[in-house]
Amino acid sequence: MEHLGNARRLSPILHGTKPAASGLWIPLILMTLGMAAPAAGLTTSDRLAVISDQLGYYPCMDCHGDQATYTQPRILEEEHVEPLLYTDTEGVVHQVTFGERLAISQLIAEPKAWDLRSEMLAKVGLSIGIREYMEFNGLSEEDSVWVLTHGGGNIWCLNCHDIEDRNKLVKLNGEKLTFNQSQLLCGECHGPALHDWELGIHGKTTGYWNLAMDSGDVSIRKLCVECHNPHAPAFASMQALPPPVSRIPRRGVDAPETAAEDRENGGHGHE
Amino acid sequence: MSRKARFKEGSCGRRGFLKLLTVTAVGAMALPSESEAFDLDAFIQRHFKELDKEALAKTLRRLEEKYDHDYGRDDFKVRADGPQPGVHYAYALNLSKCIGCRRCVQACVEENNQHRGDPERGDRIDYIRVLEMEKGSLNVEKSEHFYDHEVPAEGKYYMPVQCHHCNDAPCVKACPVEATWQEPDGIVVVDYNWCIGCRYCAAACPYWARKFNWVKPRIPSEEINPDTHYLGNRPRYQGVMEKCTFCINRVRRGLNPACHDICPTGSRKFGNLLDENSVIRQIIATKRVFILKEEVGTDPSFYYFFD
Repeated sequence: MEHLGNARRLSPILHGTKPAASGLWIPLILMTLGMAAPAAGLTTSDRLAVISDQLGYYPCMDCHGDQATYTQPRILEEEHVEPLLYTDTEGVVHQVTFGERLAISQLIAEPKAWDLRSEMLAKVGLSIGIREYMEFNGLSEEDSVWVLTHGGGNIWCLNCHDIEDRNKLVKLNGEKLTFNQSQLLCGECHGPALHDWELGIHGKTTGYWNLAMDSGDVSIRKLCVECHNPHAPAFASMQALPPPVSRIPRRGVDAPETAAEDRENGGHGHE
Repeated sequence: MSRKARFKEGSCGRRGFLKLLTVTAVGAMALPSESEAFDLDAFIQRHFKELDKEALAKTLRRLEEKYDHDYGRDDFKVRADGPQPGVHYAYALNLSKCIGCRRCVQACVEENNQHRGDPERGDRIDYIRVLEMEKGSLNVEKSEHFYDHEVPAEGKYYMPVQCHHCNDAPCVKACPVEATWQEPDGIVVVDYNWCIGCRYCAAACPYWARKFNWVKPRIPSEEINPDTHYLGNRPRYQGVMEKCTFCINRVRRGLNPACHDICPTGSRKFGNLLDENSVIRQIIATKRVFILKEEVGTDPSFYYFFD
């Protein structure tokens, strides 16, 4: 677990750049590669050895554990947009959104120092505590609506989720995977992407280009679902940061006055 | 009086010339006093490559004290980590994945202590220029540098351009005082204390990678990155050239450059060209790789690829 500690220390760098749509997946999976050699040399078995002792919990069964499985196709986002009922520790029943329900599960599964406060809040007014918790963890209300655009209508929940145990994923051969092994599932259809990911070409690896130079630290390679929402995997568009300001007037864009003014001010080429 | 009229009256004769000379000389003398206080130690300092161990240590200490004083801090560290044997840094950029969000530009400015510029004038120094290109075209002349909208835009792709760390670098050849050179690990660096500010290198560079400090760099002291390298991100003087160094303060310690780690799409890849297991070598072996302006023969350490 020594490697995990290091990954946690480095992880804010990653989280700062994460598009909002994938915020839900932040706490799920953080894979660390504590290799002595550059990450390109790693094999699948090495990777599994590293991630197998990490997060295996996912809260689906908290709600779905005692429900019968519907095998008929239906609109996924409609299923999760209805308010859910949640009974808190005091026995009070609350109406919560799907995102809030998920946050409650995470709060119970991953107690942090911060949660002492939200636990207290939970007793007086659950929704206030949960809202703060969601904000604290970068979860937004949009995360609570899941839209399945993946596969263009050709795949369904049970292609990836296990029919009996909702806390597990399932491969085509029936092998069950925990949520932190999801790349093996993705790779069943996206083989070339998985191969490139293993080599470090596809995806994002941060930290050290040369792990040998400082063996105490690690590189972190993001898993598929940390960048791609598995239900809507297209990379989200974002606002570009401000453009450079030209000191050379641009033809047809900047007014001629600007150009004259710029020369008076001793304007130079933007070198 | 217009310039044309002056020529007609012949006022550019000897007297006019002397007058002009005097004005120019006074102007030139006034320039340094505006920017930097005169520092004898800095004035007599030798070229970086000629500094022995003792002189280098003394120089680094002097700079640390100066920067601490200038920016009101006490944590400046100026390193001079040398190149590692068997390492040649190289960069690869995936044009199929880059969405042109300019996060790399921002991270670079923060890491490398660039001039933040006057907010009204907007003369911030950026090492990375992101070009918005038409899909299906590689004509950089028709690229858009100043796009400001949600990215990626329909029908466009994005090509960030920065220093290519050429192995046959025109900027190095153009420098009349050898203030810029390529290190053994492939990084093209500038000794800011040796640069005379003639800007020949900027004219020679085909990638628009060299940036000139027209004014004394303005950086708020709370935004300063105090972890610096002599040949890299230490604060610069007015009138010197600067450029991307692959974040020499980071990569010489094994870390990735700042632009690499910030990229939200994972388009940027960095590694050792001489290590056959490195991601760079994997890309060269398996992807469609090209060099920008290959015809100018600069042999860059920077590759673009598609997948």
